[in-house]
Amino acid sequence: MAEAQGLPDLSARRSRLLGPSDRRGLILSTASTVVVLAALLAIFLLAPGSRQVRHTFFNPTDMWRALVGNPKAGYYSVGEALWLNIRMFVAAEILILILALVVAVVRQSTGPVLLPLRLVGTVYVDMARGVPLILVIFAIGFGVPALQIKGISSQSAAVYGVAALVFSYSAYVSEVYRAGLNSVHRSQAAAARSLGMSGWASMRYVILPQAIRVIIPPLLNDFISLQKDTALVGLLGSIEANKAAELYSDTVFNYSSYTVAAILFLLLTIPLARFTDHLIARDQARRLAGARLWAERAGVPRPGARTSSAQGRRPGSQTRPRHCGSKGYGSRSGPKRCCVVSSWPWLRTRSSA
Amino acid sequence: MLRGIELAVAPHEVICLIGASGSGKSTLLRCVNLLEQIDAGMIWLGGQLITGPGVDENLVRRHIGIVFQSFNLFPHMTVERNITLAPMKVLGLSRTEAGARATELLDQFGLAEKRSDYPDRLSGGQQQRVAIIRALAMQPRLMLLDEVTSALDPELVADVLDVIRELAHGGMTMLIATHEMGFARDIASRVCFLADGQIVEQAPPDQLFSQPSDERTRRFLRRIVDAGRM
Amino acid sequence: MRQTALAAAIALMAVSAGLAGCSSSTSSSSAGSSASTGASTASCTFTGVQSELYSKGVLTVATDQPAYPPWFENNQPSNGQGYESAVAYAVAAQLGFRPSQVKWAHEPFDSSYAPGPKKFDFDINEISYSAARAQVVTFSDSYYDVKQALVALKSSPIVTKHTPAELKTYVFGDQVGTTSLAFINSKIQPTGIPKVFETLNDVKQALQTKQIAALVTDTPTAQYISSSEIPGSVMVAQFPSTGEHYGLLFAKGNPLAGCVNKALATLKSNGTLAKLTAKYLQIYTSVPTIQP
Repeated sequence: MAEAQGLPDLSARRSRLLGPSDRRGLILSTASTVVVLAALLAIFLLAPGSRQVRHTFFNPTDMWRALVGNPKAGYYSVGEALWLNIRMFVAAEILILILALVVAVVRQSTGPVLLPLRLVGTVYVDMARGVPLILVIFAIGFGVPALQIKGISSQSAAVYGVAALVFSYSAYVSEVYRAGLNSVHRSQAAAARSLGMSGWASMRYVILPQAIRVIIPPLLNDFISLQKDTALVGLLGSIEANKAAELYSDTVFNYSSYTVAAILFLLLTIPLARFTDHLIARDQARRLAGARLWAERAGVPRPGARTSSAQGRRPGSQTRPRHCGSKGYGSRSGPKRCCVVSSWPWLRTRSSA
Repeated sequence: MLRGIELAVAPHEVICLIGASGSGKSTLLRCVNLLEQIDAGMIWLGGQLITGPGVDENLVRRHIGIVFQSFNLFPHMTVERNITLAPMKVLGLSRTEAGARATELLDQFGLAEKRSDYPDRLSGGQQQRVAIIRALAMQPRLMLLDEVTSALDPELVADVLDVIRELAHGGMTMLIATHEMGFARDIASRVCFLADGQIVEQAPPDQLFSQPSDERTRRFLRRIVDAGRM
Repeated sequence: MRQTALAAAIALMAVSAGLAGCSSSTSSSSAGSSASTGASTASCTFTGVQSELYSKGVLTVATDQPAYPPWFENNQPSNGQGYESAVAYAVAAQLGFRPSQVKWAHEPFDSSYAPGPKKFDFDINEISYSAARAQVVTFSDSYYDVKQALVALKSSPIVTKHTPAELKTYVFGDQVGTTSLAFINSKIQPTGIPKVFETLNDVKQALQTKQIAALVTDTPTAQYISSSEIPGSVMVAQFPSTGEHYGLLFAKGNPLAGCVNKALATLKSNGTLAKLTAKYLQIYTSVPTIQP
């Protein structure tokens, strides 16, 4: 019948795209993935220097020795050293989340009273993001002890490392917070203020909770990055995981310890990365659910006992298209007026988000 | 944008503002509850000057309820929490007191079974009614309604208009910006026509709709009628 | 979906099996299997060694940056000053190379023992011989026998209190890649964990800011630091020899090492090494020796 009207036969095309072809596409993609991986593996195994590289980077004996450590021979356990990295990034992350929030809220404020603080905030963010982290670590790690201030100058290198990480990362994370704060529509702030809530109350109960929900994925992203940057604290002399790996490799002239360190870091970051993906997917699903609900427009039941029925509404008036009576002057003009297009459908979808 | 507005609203009066988009209806409402700063002039509420220096805006806004075209419910809170948040944090009510107030209003407007739902599970009309309830929970002396049905599906508009009608009959003082002419005619004590930031004409609805005195009013009303004919 | 997961699992298992199974063999070099000894006298001349060079006509010697005194001077290996620079030129002369035919290359310590062909003929960088290291690279014979020594600030208690028991209480610092850490942990055995820094400059900095009580390094370096570099510091003492020595580092199995060993033997017997030692390494017999 379609061809009779000049169109090609669409039904035949459909059955080729679905059904058995779906499975075929899947098999094809799986096979090609396996082939590519196998080819890469073959290149690696068949290269002339492959044996030496495998021994240097992937030797199980060396990996085990590096994992376990032997201080008397001049190297420490990479696994134990990782504990220092973990303590550092947990402590740093807590401080970063707090400091960055303060900076972001201050920079977003509008009152004239906070102007000096806002300036300080902007200068801080520019400097902290403009200087490479490694320089900050050196400056704090070697500079503060050099000042010889009682108490502050005699902390361990890890403390200075955490301070440097907090100084640098808080600037980046504060920008993430600001993006989140800006993503909350101004109408939310307007609604909260209109109810009589002060600026701080509306920030605390209305804006911040929404902002933080939005930015959890990028926050987790920065956290994952932070975990790796704790390696730089090794420059201050602490034996963290990468430094321990370096010690082993310099002592024995074998790089397998770095492989161990890499695997340990992967074990730390991959679960966190998958969790981040899960959060993003769940948030999208929730938002799509809201939109789907909006798509089922008509099925809204009228509430039960309503006092307004005593106000004299005509029974059955619900079935009459409302726009006929609401625009113009009521039913004085004829039924022709009832063809008004429903007002601003595009507004509806915007406000339902 | 607004020029030379002179408007007096007596208690229990319902004033409907009509006019084309951009004529200043929303701006006027937002000036009344101090969301917008006025450059010159005075606004008095209940005998007190609310635009003077040293006036606490937050205090003023407790007594003025405003409902927006785009509902602006807080999406991360349930309906109940949306309603009880301000009474608890601003007025200092306890959780039970605020909850009782919410229950009473939800029952009155037929939304009791939605109290634990999140806004995204409600239809537009239901959300708007919750927005009205949220404003009412603060027991304001004046309600501002800014084109509250413009964003709704036609079949949902009726429920919201019913709520507003109830409020009007209950004696609430209201300033309503609206495009629903039939509704305005029904409940307004006075209708103001705005154009280019000025009040061109204000009169009781019967008079303004049938015998507008200004040419601009006539043109506006004629355009409405023509659009209806389409 | 299950097919993809299964295929991915198979690929992953293949990869890890390949890695694990094939790497359990002990190392064997890919660059030449001939022994490095037994080269005849004739082949250790300028023309004889050409085929073994990284770059023909030139002896390429590598070291790290920065190059520290007293091993090098002014961070310029090519000026012939400093013990290691002088030894390199002396060895080159024995092999028939003029000073202008010696080129210096920069090789960070961490990559000097990487697998694959080297970008130099030998590396001279205060690298100690160890059996484990000798499995990966070839070392020449000793060109300097090493003892470890302590440097501390004059105000530090370690200057006067350094019995073996007291030594255990201090925080030591050293440079990564040196054998000092092994020495500290096996001989001194402190209660606290020592600090290990990337460069010698960082260790010196840590000493000056009192983050470490003493730094451990070889005697000549310690001597130089305490006399010229850190004001207010002193070389506390040196420790007895553990048999450690520095050797030149070659690619594993590089036959050039044989010729270089002959050259070193000649330099030892004709007193050149002793002269260079006296000139640059300023060994004072009055340096006290303490027990770790």
